[in-house]
Amino acid sequence: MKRIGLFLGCNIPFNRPDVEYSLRFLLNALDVEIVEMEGAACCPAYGTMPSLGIFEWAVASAWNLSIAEEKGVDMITGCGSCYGVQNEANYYMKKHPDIKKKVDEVLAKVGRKYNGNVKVWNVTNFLYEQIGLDTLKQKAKYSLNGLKCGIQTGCHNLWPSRAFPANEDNVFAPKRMREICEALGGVAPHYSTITDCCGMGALRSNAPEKSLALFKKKLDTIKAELDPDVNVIGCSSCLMQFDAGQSLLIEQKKINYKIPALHIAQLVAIALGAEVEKATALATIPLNGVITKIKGGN
Amino acid sequence: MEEGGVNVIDLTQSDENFIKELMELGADELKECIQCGKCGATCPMALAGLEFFIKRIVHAATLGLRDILLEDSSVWGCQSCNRCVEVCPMDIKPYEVIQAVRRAAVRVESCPANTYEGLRNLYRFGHAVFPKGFEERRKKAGLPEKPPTALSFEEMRKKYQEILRNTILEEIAPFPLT
Amino acid sequence: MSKHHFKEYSPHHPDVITSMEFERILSATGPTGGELKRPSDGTKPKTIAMISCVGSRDERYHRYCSKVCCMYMLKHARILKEKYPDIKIFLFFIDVRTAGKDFEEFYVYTKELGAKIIRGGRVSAVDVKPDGKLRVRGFDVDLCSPVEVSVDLVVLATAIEPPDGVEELGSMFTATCGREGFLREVHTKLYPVETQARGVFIAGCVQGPKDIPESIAQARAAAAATAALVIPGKIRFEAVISEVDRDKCSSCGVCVPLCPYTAIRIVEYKGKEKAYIEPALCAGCGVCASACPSRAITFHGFTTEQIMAQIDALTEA
Repeated sequence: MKRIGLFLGCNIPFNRPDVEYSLRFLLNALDVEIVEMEGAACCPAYGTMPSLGIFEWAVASAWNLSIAEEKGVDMITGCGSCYGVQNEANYYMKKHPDIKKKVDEVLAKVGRKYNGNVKVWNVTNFLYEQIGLDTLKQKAKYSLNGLKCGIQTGCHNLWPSRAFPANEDNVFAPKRMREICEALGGVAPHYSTITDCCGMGALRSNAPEKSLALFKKKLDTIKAELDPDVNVIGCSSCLMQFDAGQSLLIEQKKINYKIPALHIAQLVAIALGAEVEKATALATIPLNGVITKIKGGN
Repeated sequence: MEEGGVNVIDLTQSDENFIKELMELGADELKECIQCGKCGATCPMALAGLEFFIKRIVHAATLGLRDILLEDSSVWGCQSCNRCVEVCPMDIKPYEVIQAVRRAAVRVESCPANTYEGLRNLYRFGHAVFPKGFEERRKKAGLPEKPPTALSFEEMRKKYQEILRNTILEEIAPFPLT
Repeated sequence: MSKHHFKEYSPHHPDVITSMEFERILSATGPTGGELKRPSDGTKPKTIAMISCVGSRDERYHRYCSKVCCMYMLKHARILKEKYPDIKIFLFFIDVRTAGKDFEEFYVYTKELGAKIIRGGRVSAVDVKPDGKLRVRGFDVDLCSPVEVSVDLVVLATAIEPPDGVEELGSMFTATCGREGFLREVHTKLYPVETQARGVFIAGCVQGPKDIPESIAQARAAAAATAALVIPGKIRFEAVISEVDRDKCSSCGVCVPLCPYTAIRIVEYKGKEKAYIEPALCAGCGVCASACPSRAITFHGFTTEQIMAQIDALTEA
């Protein structure tokens, strides 16, 4: 039986725990043993330790990685930042032995060590490479019934590609999430701004209006080019922009349409038979139409 | 630029020591930039219209314009999307220049207040993002009130805090590390 | 250079082409008989974007500037604007490099014809839109803003590269290639067409990216240098060269691979194999003389006796 460390991060357990429920459900349903990352902290977010120094960044990530290594597992995360930050920390520690040495010294002070053997997976790459589309198809309880999905991979899941253990063939025209949706019976066409930033993150914290304007531009393009039933998101931060951020745009009367949003983990979990109530508990844009379609409506 | 100020940048303030500092803080290949502009074309900061964005920040950095870079808060709006690193033809890792400017800024206490808020949360709870009301939200998703992270394991959290005290956070944190 | 390296420019799309392909489309003897048609559907494009420095000035491919792209992009734009004044053309440059007599005038003239110039400005993305148009995203340093434009055809000015097999070709006559893979001249300023191999001269893009006038000037210089060697009907040797005393030579062969000018070979002499130095090739470096274990090689001007005498003179003083 496969085992994996479930790295939660911050946004998923505190803002979108429905994604945490979905992650737990889908790993169970796919016969993957979840190893709890007891004591794991923030990845740490780009605006915190990484903004203080490369060593600061590396040592804070190494704390988490050492927990996984002790338990003998790789990690999976549903958050783009957690994926990017920790993979980059791994990359820096391999590239700069002097930083790794300093990290080792500080970890030793609290009786821990990290040998550099942990890979960090995102949901998409884990499903694509470790589970496989065929298995996913076999285990699905519900077909997506032609559900039209607009794909948002999230920047941190694509770049910088040299730091990642697994990636798309073309990081400027990602296909893996599209293929997962299609394997489950949906349609997920390419669109011209598929790799554009949604505006969530530091921009949203420091210049919220500009962030939402950037998001609106992307959403308008999705509406015009695809008009999807649902946006399927690879990153929990993007999910918050696509769901709660979109609700803000509606409230401010800046858009006059609604496109529901699901994390890829939520969509897959629902197809595998998860409890919809729990799997979508925190969504602000109603998902009724999407669920009806998946659960066999027309 | 100050309201009503004159829009001219005085290049005599160009400071080689600042360039050196940035290179030591991670922007080690800063000087190789040829200002081709590829990073600027798809940078979210540029698209969103921040005063300073990747191409401009890198150029200001190569000119050693310390005050301008440290006084402007644009670097804190960088999404860390790393598209600039992916496309940079000279491989100067433009994002690392932004991070280096941030690192220089925190050393002279020139960063937005929410930066400290994130650091304080990280230190106290092990989570930089720690919004109120999460217990209720977790209940809705059928999960226990607290996740099995540093938040639930006090011994581990204390060790994590000790690690953080062994970094520059010890020197720059405007809050007590106890 | 192939377009397929540049995934950010949607190279899989048939309407993203290289300048070489575009040159053929414009040519009367090309696949369209000189008629402007885009590859995907054969329609005439109304808007075209041309992108410079694709693979040039780029550490991942070629550090050098390909030198001729700025000018041929302007040339293509000029031909198009003269033939089809209604067509919209956007030229994306990092810098516009049109140095030299008449070149800047060409640039200004092309602007006057209405081609739009975007500087500072390497394009970051070309994305395919559902209506078949291609959205080009660049940066305009003069507007100080990111810019985007939807076009029907994208032309990539891909880098000039050294031809395949040039390294092997060079090694056949000991001409060496530089870091970028072009054949290297002996001296950039003083011996621009000479190679390490005496009597072998280079001209054109085998030595580095260059335009037609420069290639012709270099070719004529190479021809003149060759003629100067050939016309007298005899070759002048260097005075200071090495020679093998074949009676002393033990045929060990140590000297053969050491010679940087491939001047030494083993030939039959009095029924035995012995080293022989071709005087026309020897450059008088002395490597063989100092390496010969039998002291069979004399380096004229630096014989053993002469060197010993020098040492004696120095030690006496």
